[in-house]
Amino acid sequence: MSALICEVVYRGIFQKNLAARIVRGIVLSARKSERWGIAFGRYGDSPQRNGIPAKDFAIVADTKEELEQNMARYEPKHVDVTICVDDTLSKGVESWAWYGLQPINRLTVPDGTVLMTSLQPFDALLKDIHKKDAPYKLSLIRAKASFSGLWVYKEDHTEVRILGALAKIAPSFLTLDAVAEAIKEMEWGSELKVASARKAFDRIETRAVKITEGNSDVPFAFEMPKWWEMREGVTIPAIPIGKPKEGGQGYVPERNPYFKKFSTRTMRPVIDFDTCVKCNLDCVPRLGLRRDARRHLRRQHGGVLRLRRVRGRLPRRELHHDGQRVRLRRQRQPVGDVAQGQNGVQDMARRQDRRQENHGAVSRLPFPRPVRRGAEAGSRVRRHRDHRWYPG
Amino acid sequence: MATVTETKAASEDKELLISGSEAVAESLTLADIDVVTAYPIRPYDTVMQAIAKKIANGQLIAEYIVAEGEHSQFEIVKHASTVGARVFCGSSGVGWMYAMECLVVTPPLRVPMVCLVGNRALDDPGAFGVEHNDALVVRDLGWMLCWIDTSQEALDTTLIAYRVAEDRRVFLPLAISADGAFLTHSQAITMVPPKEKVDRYLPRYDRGDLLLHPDNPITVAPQANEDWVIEIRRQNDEAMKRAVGVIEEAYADFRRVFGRGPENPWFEEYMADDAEVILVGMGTISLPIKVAIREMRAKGKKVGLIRLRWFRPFPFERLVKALSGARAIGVIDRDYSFGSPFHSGVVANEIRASLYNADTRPPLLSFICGLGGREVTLEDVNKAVDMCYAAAKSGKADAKTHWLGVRE
Repeated sequence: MSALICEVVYRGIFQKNLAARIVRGIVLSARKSERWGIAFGRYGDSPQRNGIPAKDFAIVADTKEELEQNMARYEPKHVDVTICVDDTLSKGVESWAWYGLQPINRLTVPDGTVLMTSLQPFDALLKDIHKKDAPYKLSLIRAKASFSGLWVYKEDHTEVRILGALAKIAPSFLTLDAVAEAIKEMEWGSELKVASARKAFDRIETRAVKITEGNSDVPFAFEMPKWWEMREGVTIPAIPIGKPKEGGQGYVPERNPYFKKFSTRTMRPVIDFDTCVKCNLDCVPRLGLRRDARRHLRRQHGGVLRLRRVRGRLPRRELHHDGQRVRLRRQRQPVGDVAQGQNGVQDMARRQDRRQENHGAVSRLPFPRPVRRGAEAGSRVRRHRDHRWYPG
Repeated sequence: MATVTETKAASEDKELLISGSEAVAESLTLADIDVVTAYPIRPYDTVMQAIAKKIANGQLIAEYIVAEGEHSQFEIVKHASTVGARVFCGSSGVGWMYAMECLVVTPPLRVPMVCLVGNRALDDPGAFGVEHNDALVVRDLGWMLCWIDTSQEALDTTLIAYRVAEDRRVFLPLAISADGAFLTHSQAITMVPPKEKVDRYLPRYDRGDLLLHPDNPITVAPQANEDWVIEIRRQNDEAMKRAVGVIEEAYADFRRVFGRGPENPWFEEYMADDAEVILVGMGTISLPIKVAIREMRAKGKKVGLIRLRWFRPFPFERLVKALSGARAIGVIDRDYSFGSPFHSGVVANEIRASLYNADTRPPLLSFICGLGGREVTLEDVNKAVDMCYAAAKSGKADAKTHWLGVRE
């Protein structure tokens, strides 16, 4: 082996500084034996987002040329050591940059090592870690996940314990003495941290993992569309509502056939057409939620008074002129709590708004062909009526 | 399209004395636009005022939104277009620059926005004379760009613009460039066609499956990284290529419906058939050139003009064919591109690139002239032609770019 490639899989914000210290530590430790190295984060990741899985990499090599050879790609396609600093990531990683679930050991080379901080036993972790078609080693440092913040750092010595463990895993690149020397020279180093690294070197637990071991689930696979297969205009159709959840509370959305990103990425908002006011200003699904629709009404149409009318169910014709609004404002008593007017929006949608004639062109846009199942002939009349009566 | 504006039935063209900006406003009324946004900057503001008047007089029913700046101005129409409204917008010079963020995102979102760029010099120094650099800034971004020369062409091109931009095969924004003052503020006799003819020519804007509407739930402009972006750019590239055929189709239909319009949509050829020297330019610069050509023809000099109408898509094949018969070419740019090859203007280098693979490559001379709205004089044109003849005689053009009308 003339180069050592490591990845650090971590959670954005909470472990950003931890991961950065680890990859820097790897390079600086290797430098003690006249090797060259580079430490970097995956550009496509968004580690400033709360808890999002992200990656840092460290590559060290005997010569500059070997290092460049390994750097001449967007990011490593294989790694000798996968360092996972949160054992919940053993279920797989779906980072900002990655499309689909990536098993934690996906990039680990045959006979490589997955190094993890965890208090769980090996067998428990292997229930989550996906099977791999080559044997590898699972090494554990007994520790909880070290979480801190973007501007603060939790000095629990996790970074030096990882470095100490790496000296055991890859001694030809990182000797324990080199690691200790590097730690001492770092701005955050100390003798106590060196002692922690040495203890980790002694206490690391390692177990060989056979190809038969691990989670047998096959991660979702898909083929990226060609440019002529993609929809134009940078648009993605919403996913169909899908089927109701058992018990009737909410829906299980169907998968988007054009934009597959496995789990959470496909959980796109579903418009509740029964409560959507069809304001035509946006297709933001929250407008389909009654409470937000009311907030929207307050902003757009007459402020508080309008809301009072909604709650009080006054005829719209009384609100045609500002003078009438003032008079009305004097007459009305302050409204009660939100619960009193819960059905106000629905009622308003059923009434004729004469001011509609004065509203502009956008509010009377034609309806497109319905794409939702169940939005065919039967419901079309009602939608049209809602749209016409509601000024938007 | 949201609202149909009722107009009196008329079957014949009516003759009006109107400016280029007013001609655009006439065209917008005929096209029955739905949403227009405005923010004043000279010389574009003349069209904004003309539309406001149309709406105030009840000749056009449309949403007229005065934004708090050009950035919002273009954002508003962008979103209005995505919900199916036919939109119009415009600006000039640094106002156009202020909207740059919106201008960049409009082509990939396939928003067929039509707007007028009243060409104006970019500040500093603060100036409002014509230069083409403002509109040219978007030349690589997926905007279709055309230049107009007369108020009649302003009216006709605006109708054609909607026909082209809103064609489902294209769906790209289109900027019509009009030389500030020379066209935006000059009144000329213009034939305004009846609405019924326009209705026959211009179909309703149908955004189809890209329509943003609660009944067609879609996400527009999600985050996309390196595994999607190049495909999106490739789509834009294809749309621009398809625009070539759509433009030719639109002009052919225009001639059929209105009984006028150029045979060649891409550029106007003025006495270029037998010309030994062909000058090339865009916009109202054609006027002094045409006058100078007539005088030179009277003296036996075979000089012609090619006035480019369309800059994006650039008609390189037809242009090469038209230019290859000349002994020398002189390109007069009303723009600059500092540090570019040969320190030439933008148009000159586009033509140089177009000629690179041509079998016949006449010597090409590059001129920069009329910046900041300075008058392009007959003397300037004569000087350019003399230099072109010298190049034709020697068979070689010097690599220098010549600035005309500059105090030296």
